[in-house]
Amino acid sequence: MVSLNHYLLLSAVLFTLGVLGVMARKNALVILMSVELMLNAANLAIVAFIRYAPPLGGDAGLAYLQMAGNGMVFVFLILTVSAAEVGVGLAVVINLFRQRETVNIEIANLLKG
Amino acid sequence: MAATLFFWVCAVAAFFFGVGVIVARNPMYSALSLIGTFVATAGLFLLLHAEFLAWILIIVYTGAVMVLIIFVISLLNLQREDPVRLDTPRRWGIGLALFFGLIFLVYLFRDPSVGFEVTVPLTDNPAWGSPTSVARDLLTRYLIPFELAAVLLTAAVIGAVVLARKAEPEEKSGPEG
Repeated sequence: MVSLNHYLLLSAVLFTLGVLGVMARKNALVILMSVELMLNAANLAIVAFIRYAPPLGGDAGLAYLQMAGNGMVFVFLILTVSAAEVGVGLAVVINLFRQRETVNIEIANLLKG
Repeated sequence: MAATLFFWVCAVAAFFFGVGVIVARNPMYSALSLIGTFVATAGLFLLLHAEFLAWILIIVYTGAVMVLIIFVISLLNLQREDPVRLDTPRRWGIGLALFFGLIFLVYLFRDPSVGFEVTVPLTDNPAWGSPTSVARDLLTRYLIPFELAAVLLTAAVIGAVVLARKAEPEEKSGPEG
């Protein structure tokens, strides 16, 4: 039987894959995609938590649902934010490419101390 | 146990596509792997009875966001850029340490007394997670955040256009370049 832990473990693995991508890659586009991977993992954890919220028992559980709605709105808003992030991030990458003819982040070191 | 099988298929697919995102040498393969991860996650959302979110993930992500990313990859024509550099052991070291550290952290929480061994869903109501119920929340209780999301997207569109616009040659008019 699939439990909340399975989803959380999968979410953690996907998230850390995203972290690994951000740490190890130099291509700004791949880094952007790794960030998307992390956001996706976070969404998976949130949906799993919504679905398998700790059981409160009949009436308490119903009262919880009445109070909080079904929580999907939260994930919906995260999807909105990440879509906005991709749009602006890609614009920045295009700008970087115009200035430096590359998307390698090692080349983009203008602000390096 | 069709549900369990479905979970494992989606989980394994999501994992291997996720690995593909970070090890593919060609950014286009990374993008295609990311699409695979999103589709697998959408499958898991379906398994969690979050139908609305599953379809939104397919439509918005694989339909719009990933098309945008692939479009930019094609536009920049990055064929020979950035082979994965296994000769930067420091970066891979830090990344792998984080990877296993976080996995271990999650493993600690397998302790059943922490209470995450839940297998019983919160509700059996079949309408839960359907577009109808999400829309009812979105347009009544959470109307203001919904409108703010629209404002955010508008701001992002304006920001993206301003950033990606071709810089005009220096004109005599105005302080703005």
